[in-house]
Amino acid sequence: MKKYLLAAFAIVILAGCGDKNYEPRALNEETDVCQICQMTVVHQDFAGQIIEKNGDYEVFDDIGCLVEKLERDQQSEKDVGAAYIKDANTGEWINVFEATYLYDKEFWTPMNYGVLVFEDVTEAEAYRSKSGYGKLMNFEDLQGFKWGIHQ
Amino acid sequence: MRKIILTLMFWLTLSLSASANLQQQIDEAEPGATIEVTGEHSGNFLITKPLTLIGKDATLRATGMKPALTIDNTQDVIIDNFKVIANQRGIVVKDVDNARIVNIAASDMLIGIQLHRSKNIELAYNSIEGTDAHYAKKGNGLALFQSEDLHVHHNQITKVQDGIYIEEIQGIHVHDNTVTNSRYGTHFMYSDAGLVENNTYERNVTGLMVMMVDGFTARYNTSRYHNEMNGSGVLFYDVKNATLAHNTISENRLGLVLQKCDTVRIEDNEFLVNQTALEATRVDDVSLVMNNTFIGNILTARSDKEGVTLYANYYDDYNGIDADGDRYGDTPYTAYSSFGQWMVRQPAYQYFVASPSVELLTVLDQQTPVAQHMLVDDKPQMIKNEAHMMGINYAQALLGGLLLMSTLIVWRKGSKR
Repeated sequence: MKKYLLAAFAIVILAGCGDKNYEPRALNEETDVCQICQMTVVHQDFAGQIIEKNGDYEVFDDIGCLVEKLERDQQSEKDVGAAYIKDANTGEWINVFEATYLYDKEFWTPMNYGVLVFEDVTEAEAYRSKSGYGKLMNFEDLQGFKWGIHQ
Repeated sequence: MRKIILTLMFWLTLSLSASANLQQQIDEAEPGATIEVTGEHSGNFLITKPLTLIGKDATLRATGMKPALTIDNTQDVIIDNFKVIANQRGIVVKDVDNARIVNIAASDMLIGIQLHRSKNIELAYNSIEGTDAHYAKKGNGLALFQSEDLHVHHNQITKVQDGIYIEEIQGIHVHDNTVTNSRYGTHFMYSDAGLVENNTYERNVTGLMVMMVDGFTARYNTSRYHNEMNGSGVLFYDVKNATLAHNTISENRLGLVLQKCDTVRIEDNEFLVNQTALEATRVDDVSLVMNNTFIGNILTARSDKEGVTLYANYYDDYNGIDADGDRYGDTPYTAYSSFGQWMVRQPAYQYFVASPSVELLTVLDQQTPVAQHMLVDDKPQMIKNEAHMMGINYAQALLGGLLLMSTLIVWRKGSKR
């Protein structure tokens, strides 16, 4: 019996040590600076964050900067703990790799890259119907996307 | 009441007539003609033929959200000496070959001069002043898109988002401009064959920002006082085949930031009194930081684990000797600092720079083998840039002398009593 208890205890402890919880953290516009463009994250509705597997948080002011960081470090979903971006509709943190993207040069974002982020296609479609323009994309489409103002 | 309405109608009619006159003059002018313009003209003027507009104490005031002046689908245009007032954009140039836009004074607008799909364009001696709003709510001083062979010089730009924004430009010479109090002084995106020289960048977020560029040279520029918590003198992101030479980068939070760079040469620059002179992330081993001068910086260099190659630079905190007299130190210089490396991961740690514990850690770094393969200069220069080393600030010397004399006089008077 003692053996089983010890084994159960060990399993619980080991399980506790296993999975890391990569939750998004609250941002502070006074101290959080975008890793790529060095801008402070004043417009939090567009902000993103990557949580590295070692627990480091990296903050971005625009989805373009976040994608560039992944490209710079040659990281895919499996290489980072988690990556979040703010939903353009709800302002909630959503998973970067599963989000739907809507691009038009007329959309304002902090770096003027014109890419808005939505939790799913329905949300993005609704926004596109309302604004009257925008090109739907998924995360794969952002690889090699030419970030710029695109006038 | 009737009088007021009549007066208003009189001024409105006068204004409309003046603007109609200018557009009418433009429309009626022969291609290649020169028009002298005086006084203020309201409207949204359009040039679609070769033409020279010379202002003599003249103002172009935009109505509504359209630009004050648009030059569209033409060639050989000169716009000289105008004050421009607009809500959004001052002057827009589209599909134009060969134009000079000079001596324009623009203020309180979103974008000073905007250029699209044009070639052989000179933008010079313009003065652009934005507003005090946050950078995100402002436009660029000069916004240049998809064009080639541009010459941008002697412009004075302040309080805008980016002083000179350059996107998809092939061949641009940017020189002798001054950009202050803006987000980025000059911002390159996807533009090749750029030459940036003799510019002054002060008190922006970043002086010179270069992103996604292949083939670039910046020389003899001064980038200083970018010392906000996110400030940097020069930032290269995803840059290939670039040279940064003979620049003075001083009093910045970060002097030079290199991210994802291939084959860049950083040589003969002066890094003076920066919090961190050089930060490198994902820089290839062909890139070289060589023959630069590092004086008065709190931290010389920090990097990711790949480091960056330092060679034959001068460091004022090098403690070695030159016994063989070859002007190079006999032992390597180690720029590595554990704390500097931590700051790459956590920028907020900058608030602890120069604290006693950090200083102690840095001393320990010098004596541990961890640092031996990273951020090491095997051939540090012993003597460099004597102008800095031996220079005398005569104003300070005079003030010091006067203070010394005053002290002596007071002391003597006191001792006589």
